[in-house]
Amino acid sequence: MQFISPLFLCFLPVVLALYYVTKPAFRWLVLLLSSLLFIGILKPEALIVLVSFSAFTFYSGKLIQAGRKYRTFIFYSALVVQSLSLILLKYMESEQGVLKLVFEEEGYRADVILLAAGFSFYTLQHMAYLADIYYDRVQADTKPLRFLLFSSFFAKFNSGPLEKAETLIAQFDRPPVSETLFLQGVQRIVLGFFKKMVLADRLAPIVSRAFTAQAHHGSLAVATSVCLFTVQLYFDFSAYSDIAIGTAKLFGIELSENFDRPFASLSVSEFWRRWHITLIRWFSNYIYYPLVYHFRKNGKLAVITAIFATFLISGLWHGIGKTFLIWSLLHAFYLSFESLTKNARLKWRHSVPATFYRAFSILTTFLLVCFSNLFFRSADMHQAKQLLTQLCSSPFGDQGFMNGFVSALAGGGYQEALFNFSVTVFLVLSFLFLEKKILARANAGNRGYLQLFILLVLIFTFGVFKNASYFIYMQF
Amino acid sequence: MARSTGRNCLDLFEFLDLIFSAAMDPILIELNQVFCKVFRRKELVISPVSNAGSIDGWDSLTHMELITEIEKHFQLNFSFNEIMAFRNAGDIVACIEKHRTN
Repeated sequence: MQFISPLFLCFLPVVLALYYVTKPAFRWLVLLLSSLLFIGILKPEALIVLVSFSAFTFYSGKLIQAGRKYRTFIFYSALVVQSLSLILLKYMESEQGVLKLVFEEEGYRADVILLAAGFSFYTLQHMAYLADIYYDRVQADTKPLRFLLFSSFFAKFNSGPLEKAETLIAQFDRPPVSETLFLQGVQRIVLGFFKKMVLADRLAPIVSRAFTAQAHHGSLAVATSVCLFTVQLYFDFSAYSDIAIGTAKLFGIELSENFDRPFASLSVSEFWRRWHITLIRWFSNYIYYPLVYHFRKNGKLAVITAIFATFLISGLWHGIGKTFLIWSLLHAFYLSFESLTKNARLKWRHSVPATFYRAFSILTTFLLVCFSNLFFRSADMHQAKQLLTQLCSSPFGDQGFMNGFVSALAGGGYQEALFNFSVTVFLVLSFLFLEKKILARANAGNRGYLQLFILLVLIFTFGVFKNASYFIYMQF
Repeated sequence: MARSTGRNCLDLFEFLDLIFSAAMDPILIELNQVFCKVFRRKELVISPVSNAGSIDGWDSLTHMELITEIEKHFQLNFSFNEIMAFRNAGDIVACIEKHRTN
C-alpha cells in the first residue's frame, strides 16, 4: 500500500478508530496486524521475507547476549547473512529491474516492484540492533512480536526514518496520543501531501525532459534540470518523511526527523547533517566512527579513509552501478577536501563579510550536491556522459533564450505549458522561502487551521493526481 | 512578565553555575587548552554544556581529531562506547575523571 493512494486514505482512519477503541494494553497488536496488512497489500511475498529476517535478527540478538564463547561468531555470522542478502537484493535490482522505478518523460512509474519491500531499511535497523547488543549498549529485546512490530511498523516501513529498536519499542506501550501530537500529525501529513503532489510531482516532468535519452538541450537548460532534480528529490523524500512522521504521531509515536532544510547548508558536511539524517547517522555510528576510532592514531589519513569507505558503502546501498559509485566518490572527495582545508577555510571566513561568506557557501554547497546528483539520477554512464557533454555546450543550444531554455524546460512554447512551468517555479520558490515558518507552524501542534486550509486548497488546485503514488526513494 | 523574569533568574543561576564549575574544575581548564589547540582559537572558552552545536567547527570530521588530542594530553585511552556517549564537554570531563580515579 502506498501513502498517496485512496486505499491508504481509507486504511488510516479505520486503523486509527480500531486503535482507540482497543484497550491500551493491546493497541500495539492493532498496529502490528495493520502493519502486516499494509505490507501484504504492497506485496505478500515481502511479508515472508520480513518475518523470516525479523525472527533471525531477534534470536541472533538473544544468542549474542546469552553466549559467552560464541557471541563474536554469532554476531559476525548474522552480519554476513544480512549484508549478503542486501547485496544480493541490490544485484537483483540492477540486473533484473525487480525494484527499479522507470523514469519516463512524464515523471516515473513503478515497473515491477517490491520483491522485498522495505528490506534495505529494516536490514540496516536490524544490523544496528545486533551491533548495539554485541557492544553492550542495549539489552536484547524479550518480546518477539514487539520486535516484529518495530521492523514492520507501517508508518516507517517503506523508506524509514531509521529508528533504534529500544526507542521505538518503548513507545508502543505509551499512553494515548495528546491533542497536540495528533494535530501535529495531521499538519505533517497534509504538508507531506502538498510537497509530493504540488511540488515534487510538478517538478518531475520538467526534470525528466533533460534526462530522457533523446534530449539535446543547451547547457543552461541541462544545468537547471540537474539542479531542479535535487530540489525534486528533496521534496519527494521529505514529503514521504513528513507523512511517515505525521502518521506515527496520530498513534502517539514519535519518529526521528529525516530532513532539516538541507539547502541552507554552508558546507557539504553540514548538508549531510541535514539530509536523510537517520541514514547518515546510521552510517556515521556503525561505519565511519568505528573506522576512525580504530585508526585514529593515523590522524587525517584515518578520517579520509573512513570517509571514502563510508561513502562507497553508502553508494552500494543506493544501488550497484558506476553512476552510484561516482556519486559516492564525489561526496567522499568533497568531504575529504573540507577536512583537509578546514583551517584555511576558517581563516578565509573571518576575512570576508559574513553575508558574502554565507551566500557563497550556500550556493557552492548546493551546486556541488547538484553536480553529484547528475550521476545519481542518470540511468547509466552513457546518459551521464551525454549530460556532461551538453553541460559543456552553448547555453541555449542552437536556439535563443525562449526556445533553448524556457520552452525546453516547460515542454513546449504553448501558453499552457509556459503557464504551468511558471506556476511550478513560483510555488517551489515561495515554499523554499517560507519553509522554516511553514514547518514551525506544522510542528506547533495548535489549531492552525489556516495553514491546513491553504495547503489543502493548493493540493486540489495545483496537485498532480496522476503518477503520484510512488516515491523516488522506494527504489532503494 | 513574571514568568519571563523567573526564566531570566534561572538563566543567570545556570550561567553562574557554569562559570563556577569552569573556574573550579582543573580538568575543564586543561580540556579548554586542548579545544583551543584543535580548533586553533586562543579565545575559545568551553563550559560543561559546550557541544558540537555551540562550538564552530566541531563536527564528525574534527571529532576524532579532538578525541586523539585529549587522549594524548591526558595520557589515557577512551573506549569506543565512551566516545559514542559524549554529548558535550561535561561528558568528556566526567569520563576523564573516571579514568583518573580508576
